[in-house]
Amino acid sequence: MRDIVLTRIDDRLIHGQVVTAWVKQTNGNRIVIVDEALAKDAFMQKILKSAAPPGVSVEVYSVSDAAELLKAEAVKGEKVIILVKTPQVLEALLDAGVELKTVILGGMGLKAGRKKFYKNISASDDEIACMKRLISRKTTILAQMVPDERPADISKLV
Amino acid sequence: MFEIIIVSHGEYAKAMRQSAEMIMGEQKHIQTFGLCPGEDIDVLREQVHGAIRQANASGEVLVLTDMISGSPFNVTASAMAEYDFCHIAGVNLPMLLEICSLRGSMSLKEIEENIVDMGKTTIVCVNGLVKEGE
Repeated sequence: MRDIVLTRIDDRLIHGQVVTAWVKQTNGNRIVIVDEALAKDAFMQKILKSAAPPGVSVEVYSVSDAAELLKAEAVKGEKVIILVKTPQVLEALLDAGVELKTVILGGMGLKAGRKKFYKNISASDDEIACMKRLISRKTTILAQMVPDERPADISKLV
Repeated sequence: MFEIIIVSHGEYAKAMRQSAEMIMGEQKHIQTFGLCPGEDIDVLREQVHGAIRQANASGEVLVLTDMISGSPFNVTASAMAEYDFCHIAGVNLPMLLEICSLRGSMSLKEIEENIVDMGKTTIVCVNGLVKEGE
């Protein structure tokens, strides 16, 4: 397995909190975005790559390509940050053999079908059910928007 | 006169416009959009894309975002595949003032070529300035 320093659920993927706080806190230097739609969007990939913070590479993969990459042997000095929009993507990575011990639930905005369940984090019934399955597979999910905030264990909230 | 659209985290865009107007008086053809905590990013995307589409139909558009790689930047960047407009990230108040005062006499292209360098000159360590003057 690669050296994964952060796995984060956030429907905004790369944004202010990630580049200013999480990258610095984790010293991550390789951001792996797992998102089927973005994996097909060459224009946005170009923007995300060229706007990456100094010293950090950004790559976008489908679930199957990401799983292959993440299961490969760790590379010295490489620290991987995984970003996904929904818990379902993480479940697919687990199914594909990727080990995910701790996941940070950073942001899921309020939209149709979702209800607020913790601070500014919202989830649909399907997403809650999926998080419960992840927890039963020994993945710890912690709600935490920024590193300074005290993390909240999702198993006590869903 | 081209349209200015400012997109930011929270109230920064709106407040920046108000601050600019405090200095320069009322400014026309400025729209502002902000993303507040817990709000759906897709709603902001629709608002920003819609404003760009509409403004583009009647003239040129300059979109100013608060920070590279932020969500306001991302939703604006995603419109660049579809619409032709100028996008400058990392706007500050002196840049906005400069744009407002020049857009009556300068083309958007000329402003685009100069505004980033101009913006950099507005950020100074004042302690350094004081030392230089001694």
